[in-house]
Amino acid sequence: MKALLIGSVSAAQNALEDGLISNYDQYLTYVPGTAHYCRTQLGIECTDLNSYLTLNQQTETFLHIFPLFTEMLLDLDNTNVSVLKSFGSIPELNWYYTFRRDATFGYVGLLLFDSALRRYLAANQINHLSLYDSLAPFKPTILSDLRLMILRHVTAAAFVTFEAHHQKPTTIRRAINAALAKWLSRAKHIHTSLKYYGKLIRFILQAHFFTKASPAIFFDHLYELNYLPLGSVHKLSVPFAEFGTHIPAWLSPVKLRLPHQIPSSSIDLQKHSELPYAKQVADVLTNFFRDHIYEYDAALKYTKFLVEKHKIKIAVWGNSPCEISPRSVVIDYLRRLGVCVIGVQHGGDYGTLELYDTVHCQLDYLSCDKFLGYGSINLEAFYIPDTGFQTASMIATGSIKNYAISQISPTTKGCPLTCCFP
Amino acid sequence: MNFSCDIFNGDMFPRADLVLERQLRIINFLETCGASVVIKLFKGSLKNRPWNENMFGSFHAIKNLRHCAVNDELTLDEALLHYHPKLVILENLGTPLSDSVFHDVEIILFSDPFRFKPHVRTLVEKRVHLADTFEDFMKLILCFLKGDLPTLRNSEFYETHICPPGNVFDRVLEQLR
Repeated sequence: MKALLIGSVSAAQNALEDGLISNYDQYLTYVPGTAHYCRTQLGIECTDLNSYLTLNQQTETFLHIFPLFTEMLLDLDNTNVSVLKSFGSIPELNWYYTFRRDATFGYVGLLLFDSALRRYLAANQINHLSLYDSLAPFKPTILSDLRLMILRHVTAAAFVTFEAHHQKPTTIRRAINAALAKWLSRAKHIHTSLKYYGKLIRFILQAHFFTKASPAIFFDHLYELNYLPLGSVHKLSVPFAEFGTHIPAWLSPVKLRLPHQIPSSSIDLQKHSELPYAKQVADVLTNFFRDHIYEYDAALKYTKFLVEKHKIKIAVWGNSPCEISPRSVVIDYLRRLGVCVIGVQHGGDYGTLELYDTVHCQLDYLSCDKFLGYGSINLEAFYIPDTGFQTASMIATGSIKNYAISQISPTTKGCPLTCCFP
Repeated sequence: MNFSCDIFNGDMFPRADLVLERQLRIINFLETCGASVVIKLFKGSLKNRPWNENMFGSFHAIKNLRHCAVNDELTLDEALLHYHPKLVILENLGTPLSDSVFHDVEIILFSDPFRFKPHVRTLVEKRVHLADTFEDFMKLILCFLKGDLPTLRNSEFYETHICPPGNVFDRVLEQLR
């Protein structure tokens, strides 16, 4: 049996147009929306790999992997800390811990794909699998380059031959669309970068010329803090780039390490034998630092400058600092410098769900000294990693956003309706 | 509405194909039930077609609805203030619950696979019509439309887990000074 793996709606349309569909016995995807589109719009039955997962596999895999993966991140930190320490007086920080959300979720996703694909190949007696176009995600993630490696590995292990078909712009329409998509993606990237550079310049000017006494650092994005009238609290906004948007090294105003100055270092993989593909993952994460270490250095140098110049006592975040950016390391550094870091709840589900305290501990409570939550939180975590920091003290202030909205008198305009399905 | 995402999303979400299957059932039901309904998407989400096609499985299903309105111009807070709906249908546990509970609205929630802590669940059940299975969830919606669903407006969950009484601004500012 021959199967064709299709990643997106547009890939399905193009595969049909290229006449590839008739060459295969089965069609396969990992996106439910693509399977639905193929069935309802193209009249093609396309199997969704998600249906090869057991009902609770996603949650069970996550809960099993979460502590093991975190321990690997902390092990990478312990092994590489002396290499990553950027300048003389800096204390030991958790560098790889910056990957605690995105790399963990990405890794669990890779394992789910691995597992579902193995089951699919075995259950359908597939002996040849073709990939149409690519497995690229809509937005690149830190581990997305490992998808193809896993696909090759799983097919080889199942003695299934594998090939990748690359889309060819066979019609003028597709050639134009492809060129437009490429151009649009570049334009978006430039736009995001310029927006970020603008914020960065404003921040640098503010850092040098801010005159109000003892400001508090506020990290972007503020979320609920946007609703708070700050009164006498002086705010110094600090932006951080999103994953994929970075400052070129040559733009740096201070002397920083360059990427090639970070040697590779490895961990004892025997200790992490329960994590398949651990070496490949560790390499991706270390390579990230090799490419971006100067941004971390710059952020830490500026943090030191800010704290010393403005006698910073308080720093506040409005969403957990767990994206892949220097923010996580900067927050550790601030805490080491004696600055009180305050986290503010954004969104629901803190302290109310079983199992989730462990996740929030990892993402939020270990990254601040005080956590201002919507309500009372009695921590029931089954695993708290040893990051060298205590979990935050919980303070039930209430939701800033809900309180702000409750102060608005309800409008009588609008059209009353029966149901809202958000 | 929840994103159905793809298999590579490793968060503790429900299985992505089931999320889509359930969304399609809800949408088909609402489209034919005769009630006035708005399907409220993430603000601005309809502008981004590639995102929708990859991350929002129901995108093609909501494009051709004739009876349900689709709105991506308002946040949920804005939509609740604008429309004053009698019912909010939540197919997934998340921030929309905390956004909805202080409004004068009935709420039906399908929370699986997430589990409230027992003492929290007791409070939630006084305010929210909670369904543990998808079949029960659909039954609750039907009950509401028939006028058979009791009104739940207890404020304990809101006051304990969303917004305790008193001035929130003052409590937060006290910590920031």
